[in-house]
Amino acid sequence: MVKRKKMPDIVQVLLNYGLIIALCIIIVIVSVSTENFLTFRNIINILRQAAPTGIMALGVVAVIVAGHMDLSISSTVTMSGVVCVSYVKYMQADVTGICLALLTGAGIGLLNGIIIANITSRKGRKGESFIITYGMQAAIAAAALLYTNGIYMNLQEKSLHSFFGRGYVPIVIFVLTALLLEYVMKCTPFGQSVYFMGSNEAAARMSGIPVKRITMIIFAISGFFAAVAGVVLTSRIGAASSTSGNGLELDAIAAVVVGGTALSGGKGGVMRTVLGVLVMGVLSNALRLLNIDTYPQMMIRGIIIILAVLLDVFATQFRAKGGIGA
Amino acid sequence: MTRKERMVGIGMLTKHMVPMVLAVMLVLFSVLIPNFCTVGNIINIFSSFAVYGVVTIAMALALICGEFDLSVGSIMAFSSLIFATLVNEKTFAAAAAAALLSGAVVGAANGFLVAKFNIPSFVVTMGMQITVKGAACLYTDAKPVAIYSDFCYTVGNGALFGIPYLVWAFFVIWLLAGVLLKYTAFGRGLYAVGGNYLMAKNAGINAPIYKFMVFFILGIASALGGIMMACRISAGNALYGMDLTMAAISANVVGGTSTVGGTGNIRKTLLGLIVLYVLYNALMLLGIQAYVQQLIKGLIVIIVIVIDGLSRVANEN
Amino acid sequence: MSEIALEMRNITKTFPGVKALNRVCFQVKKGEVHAIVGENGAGKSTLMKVLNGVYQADEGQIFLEGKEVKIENINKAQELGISLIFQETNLIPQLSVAENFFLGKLPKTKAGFVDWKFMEGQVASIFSQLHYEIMPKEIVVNLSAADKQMVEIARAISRKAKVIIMDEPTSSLTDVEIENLFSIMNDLKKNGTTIIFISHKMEEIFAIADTVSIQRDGEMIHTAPIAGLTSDNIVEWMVGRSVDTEFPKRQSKIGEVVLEAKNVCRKNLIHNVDFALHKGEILGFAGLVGAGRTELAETIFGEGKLSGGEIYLKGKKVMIRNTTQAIGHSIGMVTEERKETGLALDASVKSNIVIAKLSKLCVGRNLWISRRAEKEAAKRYVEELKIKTPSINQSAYHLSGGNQQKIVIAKWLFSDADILIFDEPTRGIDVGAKHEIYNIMNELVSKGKSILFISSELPELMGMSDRIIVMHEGHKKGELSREEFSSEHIMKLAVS
Repeated sequence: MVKRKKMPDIVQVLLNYGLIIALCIIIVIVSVSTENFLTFRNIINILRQAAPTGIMALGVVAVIVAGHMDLSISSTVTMSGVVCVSYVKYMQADVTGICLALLTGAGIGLLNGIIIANITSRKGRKGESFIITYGMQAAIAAAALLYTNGIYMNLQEKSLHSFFGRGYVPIVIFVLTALLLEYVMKCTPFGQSVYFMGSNEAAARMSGIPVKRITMIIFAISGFFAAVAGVVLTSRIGAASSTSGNGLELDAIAAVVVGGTALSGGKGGVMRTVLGVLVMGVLSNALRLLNIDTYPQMMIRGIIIILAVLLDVFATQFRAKGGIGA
Repeated sequence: MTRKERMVGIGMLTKHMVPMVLAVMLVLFSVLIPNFCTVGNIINIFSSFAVYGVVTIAMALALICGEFDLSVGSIMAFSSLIFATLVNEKTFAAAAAAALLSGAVVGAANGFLVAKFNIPSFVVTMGMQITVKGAACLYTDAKPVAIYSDFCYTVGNGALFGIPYLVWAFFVIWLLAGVLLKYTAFGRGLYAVGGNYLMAKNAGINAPIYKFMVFFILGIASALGGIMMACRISAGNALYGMDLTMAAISANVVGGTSTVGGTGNIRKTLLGLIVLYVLYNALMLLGIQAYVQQLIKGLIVIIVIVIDGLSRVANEN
Repeated sequence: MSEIALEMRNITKTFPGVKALNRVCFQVKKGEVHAIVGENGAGKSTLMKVLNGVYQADEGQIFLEGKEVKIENINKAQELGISLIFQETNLIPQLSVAENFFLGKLPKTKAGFVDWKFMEGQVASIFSQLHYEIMPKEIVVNLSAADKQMVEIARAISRKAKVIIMDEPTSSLTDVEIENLFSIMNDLKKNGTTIIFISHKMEEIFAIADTVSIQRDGEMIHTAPIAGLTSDNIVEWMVGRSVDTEFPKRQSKIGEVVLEAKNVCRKNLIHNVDFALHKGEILGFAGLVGAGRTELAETIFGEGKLSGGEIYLKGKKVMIRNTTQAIGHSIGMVTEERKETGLALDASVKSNIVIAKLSKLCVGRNLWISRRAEKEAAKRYVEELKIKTPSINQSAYHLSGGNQQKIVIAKWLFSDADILIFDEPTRGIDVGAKHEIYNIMNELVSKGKSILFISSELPELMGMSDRIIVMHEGHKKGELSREEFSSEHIMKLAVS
């Protein structure tokens, strides 16, 4: 047996939660230096704001845990949003609209999954899911443009659809999504298989895990929850356009990695992502209160993704030197 | 048992297929579309890909080396803005140098992260894409910056012997890249590193440097693209290059360069560009709605990459 | 001719748990073809990798033409004039023949560009010396296996190699190509090049070698001129020892046929293999590396595509399309590459044990994994198989090879597999753990399970198996019952 050193706990904690800790410190500093930060209203506001991206982030967790990536979720949000709103606005068919939107999302995800399951190299991944879903992002964005003809659709009357964005409802949906997915990932054979597949896909296949089928399902999940996010988002802002989801995919991914889910797969999970969503939500709100607007926030998101990946690399190197077990 | 290794990627399908497809397309479109087979339109086709073509060439180097870059579009946007703001105040040369430098810095950062820490390039460049995009938007508050220099306008829209300067520029770079790939140790090293990283390393090739250089070159090429774009439109814009990554990858793959690494050449890249842009041109001349055109473009990208992936998996079994 | 070209003295190399080379001494004369023979795992390849700078010896010295040399890496070996030609060719397939010659040190013109003319001229002249026709411009992908082999040899010559090591160079060549290779080897010999030739094929060794050295269990047993030897002599030296009693005896009743393969084929890899596995039996598979044993096992396990033939389980014909179905039929496979396909190193011991049959842990229709059941199952197997781990939540990463292997076995026990495929289960693990694995195997068959046992170590294969099937290049070459077991017999069939 290889002799194991006593694990330096502090290093492990830092490598696991370093980003979150760093961001929390920033948040504390901001909350001390601004007035309206820690008010009930503001906190509810933060949660309402964060809910749609949060739902996307939760949906994409399984994909990332399995070691894949889904960049198409932003366009799926857009597409499902415009599908839903078009039915609500022009036909007053809320239920049909919402169902069709969710179907659209799941369908797009499933299509991604089928393609990726069939072109993923058996001898180690080569970023197939990145290219495919990036291409899909563009194609669906174009389809959404075509569908709406570029028209901005806003809703006046209150209807069933508007319920989903009202008051605490987005927060409740976010919480329910988190609970459901936490259950799926932690308590079902399916979820355990996803984790195993993310650690070592070849070993998973040789242990009888239906790797292809699982790949299809996780992308379908990701697409489905992107569609849920689309419905909530359009309901909250009372409008849909062919650009409403733009850029959200990286918001969601940043939230996932901040929570400590590694892009290399096999590590992390739903509850960590909830934490990541909260931290990112609070952070962007804090920045807004400091009058730091959207664009620096984009940069921060990108830098966070890169830092998270670097941390993962260091954690792996650290462990290879005999540091820690997971 | 060593079985005979086969050509990978759709390279094997397209050795003669791409030129044939192109020929069929040309004949078909010439018959169907009255204005297609005119000198003016052919020049149009070439100028339509001159800017993206420069980045496509650089992307060919990356694919040959087994890497790819999602951040080229953001770099193009950022450098176009830097160029546009500076060229209104300073000289053309100074503005261009600053823009190229910005691209080089981002490219170097990508290259450093990939080569030094061995992080997959798609992860690094995904993060860099949004970072640089944010920087570009922040720089001018996401507003386009108009260029008031006549010289820039001439560079972007003038022509020599009836052929636009930008097309000349594209072909100069194309030739340079061709020489680089065929006649320099660096170019040949890219094939070796992309073909088999470990073997190349064992043969004494400093493989990480090659990976770094690929991203460095991509950064500079994207910045150059940004300058060309800014001159052509007479403005810098944070929205440039949104579909650049996919356009660059798909043109290469259509030409027969696989995403596996180790294969491809500059002739294939040009062929791929011509095939795609002849098609786009025909869609436009046929009066197909803009959004439909975009959708078709997107679908073509996916189809091309799926075929590439399927043939690769088929080769593994 | 009697000058010593190369001498290795007291070379020792230890891998964790395994002494791969034990004080090996070895001399090669200048201008001779020196064959090294030995069973799989005797240490031939390790010795050659030490010579080529891939591995560093723990102890010992290497002398080249009388001078002591230190070979730190492949480049150093090349500078010294030692070239190794691997079983798998070491060429970059996407580059041209000429470029592969000059990889890493491309010749340049005065202007600094790659000098293709010079390169191709050089290569062409070397091939014309060898009387072999290959276009220097040709891309390696398009070459046949023989051509590639020849490119490697020519490349070694172009690098002014004094010593060329050929590790099974003929394994993918046809008879005509082999003859051609031998005539070139003879030419090289005349020019004073020394060749070390590793082969399993006796007829080739007698056709080409001047001297033969026999390696066994990491030691150099014997070196002699080929002239006085017979094939039987060599095989005797190779296997050496008798099957001793180090393998635990077992009592198991061999029952009815549980698995029957009829005419099993896998495209290009397996050709019409028949066998039957009985209840309570260990069926051994012998053969050289590349004989198709793993590929056959994969086919049965649903990982490789059956291109012809039938598989019967307990008399019923089955179609196994993937590993999920194989497990559904109670088949399990302990794979050869433990770290690549056996377990997920990052995942915990617990999840590695239960992964193949998560449904067993579920409460109510696969909807809820009982954590308690999972913990209990993992604990049970950790105790039963004596897996040494600080906790079942520990990741498998830092466990020793033997303990990792036991986790893989535990996985299949948990999945209730009745038919277990063990593919080189003792590779890379220490002696103590090997014995534990033998004991586990015995216990399994005594409980009525059946084992397909693939191993390249003849002693353990003969010590453990009830019957042995010998394979060669995808064909079944023979089937031996326990009374017929002898190393000589098996080796003869395996090299045929």
